[in-house]
Amino acid sequence: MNNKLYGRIKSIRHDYFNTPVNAVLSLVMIFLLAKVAIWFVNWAFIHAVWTGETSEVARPGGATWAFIIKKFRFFLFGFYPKQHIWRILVTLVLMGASFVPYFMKRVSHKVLVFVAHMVLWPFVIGLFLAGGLGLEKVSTNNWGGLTLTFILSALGLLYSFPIGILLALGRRSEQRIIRILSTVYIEFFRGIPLITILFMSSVVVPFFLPSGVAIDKIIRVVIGMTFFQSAYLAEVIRGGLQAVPEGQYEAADSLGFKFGLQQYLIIMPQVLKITIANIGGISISFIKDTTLVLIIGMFDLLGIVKPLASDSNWLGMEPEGLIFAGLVYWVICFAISRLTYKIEVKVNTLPATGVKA
Amino acid sequence: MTAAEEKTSEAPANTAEAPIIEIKDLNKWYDDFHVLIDVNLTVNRGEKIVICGPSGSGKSTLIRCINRLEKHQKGDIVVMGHELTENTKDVSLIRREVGMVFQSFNLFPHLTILQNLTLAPIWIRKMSQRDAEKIAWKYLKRVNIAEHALKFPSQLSGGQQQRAAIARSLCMQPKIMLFDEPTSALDPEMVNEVLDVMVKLAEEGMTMLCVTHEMGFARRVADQVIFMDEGKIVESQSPEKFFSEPENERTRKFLKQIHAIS
Ligand SMILES: Nc1ncnc2c1ncn2[C@@H]1O[C@H](COP(=O)(O)OP(=O)(O)OP(=O)(O)O)[C@@H](O)[C@H]1O
Ligand SMILES: [Mg+2]
Repeated sequence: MNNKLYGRIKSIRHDYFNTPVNAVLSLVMIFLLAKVAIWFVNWAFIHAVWTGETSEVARPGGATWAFIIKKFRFFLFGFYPKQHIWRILVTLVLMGASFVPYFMKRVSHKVLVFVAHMVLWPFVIGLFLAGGLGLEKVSTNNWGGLTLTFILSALGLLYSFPIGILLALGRRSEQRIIRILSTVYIEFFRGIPLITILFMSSVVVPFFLPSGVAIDKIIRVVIGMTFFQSAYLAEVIRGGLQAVPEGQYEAADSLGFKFGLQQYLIIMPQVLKITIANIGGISISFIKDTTLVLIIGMFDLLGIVKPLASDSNWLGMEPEGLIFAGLVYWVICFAISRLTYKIEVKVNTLPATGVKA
Repeated sequence: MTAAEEKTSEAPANTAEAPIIEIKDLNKWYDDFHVLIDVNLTVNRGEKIVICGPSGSGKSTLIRCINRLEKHQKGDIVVMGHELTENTKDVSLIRREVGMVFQSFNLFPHLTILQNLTLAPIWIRKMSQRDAEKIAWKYLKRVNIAEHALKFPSQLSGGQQQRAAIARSLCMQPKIMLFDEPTSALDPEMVNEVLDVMVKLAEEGMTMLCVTHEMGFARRVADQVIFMDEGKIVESQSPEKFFSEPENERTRKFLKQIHAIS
């Protein structure tokens, strides 16, 4: 143990204090880091205020977490009417429960579960969140906070997956037309910024809809984001497809598998294995990208900070709000990162592709 | 059955005796590279054909045309009474009946050996899982890898993988087996375990077309040895004749190169 510690010290001395200049730089850096850390601990914990009704409780040099605590409901549920919040909870529970079949051994075709999600989630969200069948309507303008972030991310990822797979296959198709169309789609949506797509879907698209037809903004935004995300996913999946050796297709062909089954049973499982890390990565960026909807006036977890801090009782609370929102995003993204890493490790104990001769 | 007998069975009296594979004036091009030139070949039920020849002579291409992994541009290929055309229904019918074994095994790496064997019977032959597994175990035992059934391909040696690949094809209960240099990716000490399986299969009466340079195997099981060069069938003989008195100069040269003349 002592030996280990000694080794550690030795290697630190060797890496950071090997020359006088390095030693000075290291000391300066340690000093600065310590200063920032001490300031932050003071601000976030020691001088922080946890209770209170208005920003008057704020203390200089300390965070006013009372703001977050008072406004917690809005961070979670946006401006959704208080008496209806149970509907959000029901929706979340139902969506969560719909993952159970993935873990059931008896369900041998998880892809059917996925298709069920694609069909049922919008219904559940529409019925409970938007209202209908006797439930009072709640305008989507009132949706916000973490709930909105969750819905945009979940629906965007859900639909971009199958579309991305189809696009990737299309780009490798032997049919020239399909190949060209897929390529144009992918390059088009990869080539324009997400923010442009969001503006188009919120401002431009309504102009082109025939009069009398109104598509809710949230649907337009989900569609726009799906276009964007599916183009990126398609490229990741195409990379995976290229890594599957030709021999796999030939073996599948020679056993009599036609295109669809071949992809489903033999090629895609290998592709998903190869690309799991990348898919996790772009899913994380996608979730972070949903914050851009604040530009078109939607109040997701990040977008809601500003209106909440404009409350005359809580003026000037943006820093607390932003730090809190950032922390929540970090927790979510870190969790996904760990999850994909776990899957990756589990999957990588088995070979991804190819068989060494 | 010898090559001579085969000639006499040209006009089949009934369908049972019709050739199982009939290739007439087959021509194939890769762009403007003429890879198969006027190939004619008739294979009867139960016949074993060994195809050899120098690298690039079109051996793989020829047998890959038989289950339409490659398309041909001219001539006819009739397999079990079905002509191979663009008609995909016929193609998938043929592929069920024709097994193929590759140089690089091509087992599915994400599935266990047992799953590799049952996948096609379940999905293509629409067998129940139980029946498919029953057949799979039968062939796993026959090729001597039953104790590895639950492993993944990468956990097996090359010879074991190739035997598993043969078993995978057999599980579809094919009428014809195609082998494309099944032993040339193997370490020498593993070649025989694979050849033994193939010999056994031949003895059971399977119709086989094997691209191989294992001349011992050819001598032992072949009814007909075919020598290809530059896209043509240069010589087609019984193994006795092929090895003792090859007619063609190029055949002789080739045999000398692989030290097969006894
Ligand atoms: N997809 C392809 N496109 C173009 N040319 C090809 C293609 N596949 C094979 N060829 C060419 O066709 C010729 C015959 O190939 P083939 O694989 O049938 O030879 P082979 O007799 O099996 O040789 P080997 O003993 O090396 O396996 C070779 O010259 C090869 O370069
Ligand atoms: Mg070859």
